[in-house]
Amino acid sequence: MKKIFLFVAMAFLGLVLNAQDAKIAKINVKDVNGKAINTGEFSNDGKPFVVCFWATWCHPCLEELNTMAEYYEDWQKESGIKIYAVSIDDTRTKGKVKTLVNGSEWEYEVVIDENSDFKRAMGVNNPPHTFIVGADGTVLWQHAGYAEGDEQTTYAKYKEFLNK
Amino acid sequence: MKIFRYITLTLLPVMFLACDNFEENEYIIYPEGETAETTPITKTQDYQTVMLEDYTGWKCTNCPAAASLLSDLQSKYGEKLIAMSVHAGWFATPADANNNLDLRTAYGEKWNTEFGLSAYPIGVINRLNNGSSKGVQKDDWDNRINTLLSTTKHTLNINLGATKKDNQFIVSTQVQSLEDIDFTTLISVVVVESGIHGIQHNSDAAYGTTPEIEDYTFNHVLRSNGRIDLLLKNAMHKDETIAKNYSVNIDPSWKTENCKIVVFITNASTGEIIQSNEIEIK
Amino acid sequence: MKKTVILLSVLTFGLLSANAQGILGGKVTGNFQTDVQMSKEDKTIGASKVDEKLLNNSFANILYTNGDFSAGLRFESYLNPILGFDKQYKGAGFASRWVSYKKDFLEITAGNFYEQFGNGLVLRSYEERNLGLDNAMDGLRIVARPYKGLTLKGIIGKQRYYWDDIWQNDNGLVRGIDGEFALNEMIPGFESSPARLTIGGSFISSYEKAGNQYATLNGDTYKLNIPENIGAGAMRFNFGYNAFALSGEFAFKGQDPNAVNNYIYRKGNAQLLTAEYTVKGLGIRLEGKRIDNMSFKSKRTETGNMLNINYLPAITRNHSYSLMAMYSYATQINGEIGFSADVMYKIPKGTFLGGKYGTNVKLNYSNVHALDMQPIDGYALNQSGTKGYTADLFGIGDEKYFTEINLEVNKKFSPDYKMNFMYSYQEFNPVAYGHAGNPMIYAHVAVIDGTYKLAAHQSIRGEIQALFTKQDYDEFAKGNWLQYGAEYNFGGHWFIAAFDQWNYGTEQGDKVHYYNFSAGCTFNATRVSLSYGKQRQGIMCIGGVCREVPASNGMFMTITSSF
Repeated sequence: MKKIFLFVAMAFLGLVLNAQDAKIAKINVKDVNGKAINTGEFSNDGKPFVVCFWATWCHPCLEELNTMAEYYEDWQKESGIKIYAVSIDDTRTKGKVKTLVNGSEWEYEVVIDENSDFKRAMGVNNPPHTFIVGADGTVLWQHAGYAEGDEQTTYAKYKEFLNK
Repeated sequence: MKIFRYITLTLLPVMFLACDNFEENEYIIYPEGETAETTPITKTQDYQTVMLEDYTGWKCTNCPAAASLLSDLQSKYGEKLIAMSVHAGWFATPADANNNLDLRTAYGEKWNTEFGLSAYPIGVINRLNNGSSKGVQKDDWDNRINTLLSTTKHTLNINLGATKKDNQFIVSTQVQSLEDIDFTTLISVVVVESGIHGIQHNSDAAYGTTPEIEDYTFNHVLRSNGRIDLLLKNAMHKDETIAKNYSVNIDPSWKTENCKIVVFITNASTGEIIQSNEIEIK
Repeated sequence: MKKTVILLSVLTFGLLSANAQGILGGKVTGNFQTDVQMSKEDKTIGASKVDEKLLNNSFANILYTNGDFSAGLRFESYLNPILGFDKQYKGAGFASRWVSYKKDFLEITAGNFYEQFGNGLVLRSYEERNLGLDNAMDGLRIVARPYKGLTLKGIIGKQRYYWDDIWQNDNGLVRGIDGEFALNEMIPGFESSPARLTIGGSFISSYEKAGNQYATLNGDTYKLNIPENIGAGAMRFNFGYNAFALSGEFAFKGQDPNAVNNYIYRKGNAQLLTAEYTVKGLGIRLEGKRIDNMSFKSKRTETGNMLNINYLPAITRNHSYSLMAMYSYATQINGEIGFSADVMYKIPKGTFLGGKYGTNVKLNYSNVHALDMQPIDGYALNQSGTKGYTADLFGIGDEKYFTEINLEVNKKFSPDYKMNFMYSYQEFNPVAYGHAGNPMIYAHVAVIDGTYKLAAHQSIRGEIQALFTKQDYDEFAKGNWLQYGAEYNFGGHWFIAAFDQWNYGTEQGDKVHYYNFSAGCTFNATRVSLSYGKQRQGIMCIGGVCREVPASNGMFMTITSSF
């Protein structure tokens, strides 16, 4: 019981401290060729960018990314959006990431978070989970899950933040 | 190049992180006396034996007569008689008079007491009780051996192999059961040495000079370091074979070419020997 | 435990008060999940009575970040654990706490951490919440990046074991180092070379006091000489040249007689080799894997999913459709040899088969066999207290563990209408479920899944799945199944769904239906879902690790949230 109390106190303290919006975590991940990249270096020429957590075995994730892939070219022309697709596939399936990305003709910046370090640091429960991150690294908006049409919500939010 | 310096730096700590490794014969911890070393079986058995322990000592004046009788019996019964001379008790206590030649063993002393032996020479045959002790007078030896060879139930065979390796004798045993055995059996592996020269008291001119023989030859003398009463099996069923390997440390005073290995199996509750065998060192 | 939490809090506060700016600049984020289950007895599906009536698993992570300093806490409660979770989880408390600091090229973490070396063949500390698997380390981790392209890691610690006070138990201490060299970044002039090469190596050593372990050889019981320090190492490489890539890892493990390998002294080894060729619209991938006596735990008597030091994934496809995943293969860590191939192709837009939007086609094949194991002279196969067996590196055993061939087609017919078709043929050896010696299961599985968009935030999804097999002999081989249902998404936030899994033509006739109704909503990063119905008894596998999920009949609610 004492522990629970302590926990609640800490959580409350957390909320008080959370006066400012959270920043994107700085975690080392790898691109599909195995090159290390720090998530703190994610950027989009001074504009906000989108971070999508996904996995090769997650159906809604593939639905989301496949749907967005159809619009991606148009969106990029219109607003200069950039999407980082963060795969949380582990050793079992990470090898399929590059095959799937190329096989599906995705143009996203794809990185692999093999032991879910970035997922944990961003407080993601389950994929799909989408973030919009400001140019300064501030997390502006996030959304869990995917249903048909959610991609339009994400894009509308993106444009909203872009024009702020 | 700088890179290789880092590679070396990375690999260095690896050397400090050891991992334990056991050789094949170290995987299991054998009970005292057992070993993973083996030697081929060269002597097989398909007959019942009788084992005669001749309790003796250099001061025992009637003992040369008993030794001579034992030698005759060995000629008579051949491999069916296993002989072992146990030097123990007052008669075997070394002194200046025998140049301090000590042929006693710790377990010889123990048996001497345990079996209730006092007047030497005395024999113990298959460690069977004979009245209040296990001692059998030499005049009864032939009869008893003869009787036991025909009455003892043949329940086991002991196949043997023996070799010398470094400072040890390695003895491989295969015990085969011919019947179900419902009691616990113990196995003993001992070394006997022949051709040991020393002074022996003697009272009968028929067996040498009196009162002492200056250059007497002691045969099949029980030596130390044997493996005594190790557990063989709690119970055995018919046609079971138990293979085990034993080591016996060699004492530098032994002439190993004169040594034999004697193996005997006892009933753990009665102490009686149910089978025995011997083998020369190859 | 309590002491460390207090200490940690004091430390954190100390740090905060020492740096007034820190309080304002610090960020707190986190996430939360709670699962509530109520289940009642149901004899037709084998659901047993739940005495507690209500079961609840919850956890919350709180992360504090301030520049290069970060700290985290995780609270978990299992009051009582939901069905299928190990009863040893019962309880509540802080399951983990840690602080981390980055300075120059060093990153130091004290407390609980997760880590993976290479592919994880010798070290992977991770959690799989849905399996109730958590082997977090508690100790110290240092990561150094002293030179461009070079990463060095060192770890020392012990692994989580339910709620045990791990510093009081005798479980093993794990130590390890890892180095990774991205040569293109390290060697000037190769940064943009089309040929890319990364190499790495790791070494792990675990120390556990030798306990009393016995083996019976030739009818006699002997005490075993147990190695206390167990070493394991691995070398890996990743080579790429334009569209072509080849990667591999080779691992070795010292003598480690343990409960999983039946106390044999054979040294372990594992090989993983992948080749791929990918261009836009086409990906081809081949993978071979061999595992030989690689169970590596920090407690030699442990047999469950806990205390794994390493991770040995299955190379079979990870299915998300439930009937496809009914016969999921689990890695046989004592030995297996397998091969898999994937081809993913997007039939271009504007072609006959591609249509207006293009068509995604995925073909997958996998095949896993036993190793070709031969007994040691004079002993039975895998006899405790001996080397156990010999196995040729390229030998394939007669026993088949798993074969699957599956084809998936994703097709969009119009802006509002798309479908997935999937077919799979599976040969499944129940050894993967721990039921060795049972007949193979041969199954054909087909799925049709269609989504129709009614309006901007309104869609309906229908699904039919069917599994056909002649094998109907036990709890894990239950004949034919049909699953059908629909899901309706609306308002951008809401969904309702109804599904039925029907186990027909079995000994129990055609009456076993598993109806399930669910509804839920998502608002930004908060998701609530509620379902009511029956859940079949089954085995849930993630990454080649499985747990049994008992049958249930009742209500299940999940709330997840990130902040």
